Amino acid sequence: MTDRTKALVVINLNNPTGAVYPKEILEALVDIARRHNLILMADEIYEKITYDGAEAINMCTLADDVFTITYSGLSKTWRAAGFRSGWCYISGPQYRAKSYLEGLQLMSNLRMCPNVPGQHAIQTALGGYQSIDDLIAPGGLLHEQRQVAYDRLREIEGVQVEQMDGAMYLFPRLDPEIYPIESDEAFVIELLRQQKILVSHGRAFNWIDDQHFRLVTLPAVAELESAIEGISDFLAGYRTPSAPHGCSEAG
Amino acid sequence: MAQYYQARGIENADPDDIYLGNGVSELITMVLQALLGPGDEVLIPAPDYPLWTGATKLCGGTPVHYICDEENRWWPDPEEIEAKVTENTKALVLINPNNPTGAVYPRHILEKLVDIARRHHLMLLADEIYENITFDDVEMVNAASLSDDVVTITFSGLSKTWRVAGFRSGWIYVSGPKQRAASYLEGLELLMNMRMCANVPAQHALQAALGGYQSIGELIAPGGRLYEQRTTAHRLLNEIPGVDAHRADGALYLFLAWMQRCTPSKMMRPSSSSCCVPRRFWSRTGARSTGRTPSTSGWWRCPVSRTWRRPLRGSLTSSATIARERSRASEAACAQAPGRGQAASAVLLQLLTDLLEALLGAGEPPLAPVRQGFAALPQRQ
Ligand SMILES: Cc1ncc(COP(=O)(O)O)c(C=O)c1O
Repeated sequence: MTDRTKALVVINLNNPTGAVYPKEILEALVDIARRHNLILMADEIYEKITYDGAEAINMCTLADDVFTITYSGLSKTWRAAGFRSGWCYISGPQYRAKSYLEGLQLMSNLRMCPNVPGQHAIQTALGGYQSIDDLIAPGGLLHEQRQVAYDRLREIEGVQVEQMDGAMYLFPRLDPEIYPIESDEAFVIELLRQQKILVSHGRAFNWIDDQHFRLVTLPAVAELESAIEGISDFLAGYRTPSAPHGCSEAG
Repeated sequence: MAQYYQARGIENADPDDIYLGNGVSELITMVLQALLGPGDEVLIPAPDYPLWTGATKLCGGTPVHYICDEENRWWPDPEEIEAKVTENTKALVLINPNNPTGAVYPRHILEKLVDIARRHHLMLLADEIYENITFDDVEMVNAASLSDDVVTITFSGLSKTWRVAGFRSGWIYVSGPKQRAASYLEGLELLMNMRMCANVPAQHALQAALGGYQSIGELIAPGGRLYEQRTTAHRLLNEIPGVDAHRADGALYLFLAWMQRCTPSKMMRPSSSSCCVPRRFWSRTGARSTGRTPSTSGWWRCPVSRTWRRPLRGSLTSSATIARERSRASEAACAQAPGRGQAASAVLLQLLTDLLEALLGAGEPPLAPVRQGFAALPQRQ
């Protein structure tokens, strides 16, 4: 925190880690924003995608004296990313942010409006029967895929992974003792070349070391199983002491 | 979409050169964001579609306006543009057919603009979203068709010709020596990926719109709604003493010389979203002498694309209150389904009636036409 800090961004439920933040932590964050006069930006687009009873708390419910912008949209819970339809909900002491809101309105006008066909979908999506509930319950597609991905990854030597509480991502760590990776980007490119499997490297998410990658658990169970087998084979090449470290000469 | 440009005489238009966006507005912003750093200058017409100036400023660039003079049919003056090129100039924007003036630029002027871009290594940004809305067989030339050695970005979209602005569907076509713009295009692509993609439902409309029967053809032909509205608005406006409107060759607007000492902003205050919206006020002298974007009285833009149903009143009253009420009623009526063809002139007469009333109601002394008042103002430098 410096005297130039303007805003605090919280991504809960988190992409890429799948973490869901507990109430105490969220309250502490809200309090920081309160004491330092920050705008709180809560990206909660995965809010309905939680597993095993994890609770997603909207930060804007924790304070009415902190200026908060809550982001969500149709791309995740309602799985219509191609509609390009999202929104933000502004709460807290808006009178303190008058000129900011004016600027925001101006920016919104500069791009005319959100596309209208996508707007028609919003009420239909948010009201009534919520198909996401079936998908995240035991037996549901998202729930099962998450389980398989977690179980299979854990079986690989030197792969340390936390089960996600929400969203659809796992962010495993590769034990540096076993996998001394020089460049995580080169690592994922080589994985793509050799195994035709695409994951994202940790640094792509501005993560601070080269030992992580993100796995998306949207593919079907059978696909996930064979993909993780491919990852396992690929990692075996990294494990053997004779194997070259890093991938700089590859391809 | 590549075929669309091929059909317009750009034979080597390739699908890889088309980028989709959520409307031209979004693309204007992204194209400038990828291009501009602090201190970079962009040559922008005055008057302009104000997003170009706004987006340039937002990207940290400096808009440098070149004047499109009414006395020269609102066409740009290549010499003036050339004189305003500096070593910081990155791009030359042209809006053709023009919003707000309705001008359509002739081939010989476009060729000169292309040549300026060529000689000074400027990116040519051609906002041609009104390209299919031209009247009286005036020739519309795509800037991209005039060279293959100038990096040209052509903007268009579904909002005007195909009249589905709410779909937020536009595109750019990049042509010329793209190898010289490789790193620029990489940056542009990155920005485009950051916003994911152009909305998919509207992408489905693109082929349907651009291919096959083109309904705009009827609308812009004599007897067609846009044609008649343009023609009637022009005739009736010029019947008002002191009003001086140049006839639009294209687009949906007339850009009027208003009377001196009239304050259109006060006059039109009742509703900024009413059927006639004074968008921007340009002092001819101010604009000429400084090249900046003045906001004094003098000009306003009259959209001729709107229509509303209201019985025509026979006489004019001088009550501003009535004008305001009418303006509100008009707005409400605007929300209804638009009328067709022959309703246009009645509708426009109504618009002009409202204007005149509002003008009289503004309580100004009898107004001198601009041309008289004009002489007293500073001359061009
Ligand atoms: C010259 C010009 N460019 C771009 C636009 C914006 O078009 P779109 O709806 O595609 O953002 C307009 C609309 O008013 C315009 O007049």
